[in-house]
Amino acid sequence: MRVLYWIVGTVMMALLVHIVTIFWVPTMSANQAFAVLNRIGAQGGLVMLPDPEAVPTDDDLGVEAIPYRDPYITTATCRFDLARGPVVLRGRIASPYWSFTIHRENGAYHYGLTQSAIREGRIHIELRNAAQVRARILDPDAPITDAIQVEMPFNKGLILVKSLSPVASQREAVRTAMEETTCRYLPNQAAPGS
Amino acid sequence: MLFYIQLAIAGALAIAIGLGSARYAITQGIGFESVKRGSWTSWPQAGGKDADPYTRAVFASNRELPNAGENVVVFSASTDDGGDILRAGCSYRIQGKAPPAQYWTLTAYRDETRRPLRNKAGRAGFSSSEVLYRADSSFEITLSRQPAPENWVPVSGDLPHDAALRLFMRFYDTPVSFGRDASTAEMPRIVRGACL
Repeated sequence: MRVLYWIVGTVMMALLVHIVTIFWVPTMSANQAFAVLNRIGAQGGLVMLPDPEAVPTDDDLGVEAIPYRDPYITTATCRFDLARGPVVLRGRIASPYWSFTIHRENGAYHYGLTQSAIREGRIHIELRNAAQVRARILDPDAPITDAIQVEMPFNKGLILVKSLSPVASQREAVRTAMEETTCRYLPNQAAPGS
Repeated sequence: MLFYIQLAIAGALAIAIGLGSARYAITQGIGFESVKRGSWTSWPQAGGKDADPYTRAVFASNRELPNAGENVVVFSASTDDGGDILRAGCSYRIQGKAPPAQYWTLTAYRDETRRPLRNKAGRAGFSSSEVLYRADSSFEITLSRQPAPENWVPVSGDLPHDAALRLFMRFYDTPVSFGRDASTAEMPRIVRGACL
């Protein structure tokens, strides 16, 4: 009977170690890809990631920082901190498929759009925190805009823009359109009475 | 004294079993939401707000960017249909039809570097707009060192024979039914040919 207690106890402890490890891995090694993205470029500007094929040779054993990226996809990122002001992303889409996603600094997904959400091949999105949304609503001089308005529950994060080139000859046009896309801060509007 | 020795042995066993089983689950890609179709595995919920802890652990350890909120379904394969690891020294035929999607891409990677294969043709894979289809809308892509007809992805002779490869098939702008229920997807087969 004592042996049975020991076996049950060991199995219970093993189960505990297993569960703790599974929950611990994402918090410790987590989102290394986003840790890389968080180091790229200045805050408040769109930065294009290098082509995943742009490595010297196949013998170069340096591990890709963001592994297994699709070479048919052009990716750009924009880090933001809404404490510095609302963020506006604006550009032209030259691709049959693109996506726009917003993530927290740790990589957690928050919001996403694909090309079906825009008109006439133009992307125009504004990000504001709750105070900035309120300030804009209360500002009688706020300009009328066709931008998609996104209210953010956090200040710091990053935007990922991905654009597909189904054939190699399209890549240059897709890259050019992505390079012309801007991600910048708008001036903070003072809330009335503040 | 005997009690403490037994406790130490039980503790060491528990840690070994717990860590070992966790490592196995992560390296084998075992998750509540993983979908297996032949040699292909997909994590439709990866990166989403509702991803299970196993899926989070797999993606965190792989350092991949998940495709949350992008209307994209991603399948990867590191073995052929016979269950053997994909190797640079073997030839493979990826044959069949693709599940419905506006666009798809199939890319071969060297698993060690996690980068697309490099070759003189500059081709690591095919997209749905590039691949040559047969009359029944199926296709066959050959991954090999030797030239092959139809759709050929050259494996550079510089790669060691035993270098492990990994295939990714990504479906962009998928119908809702496929995106939410990838388990019904009919994925192409990965058939091994001659090995060096």
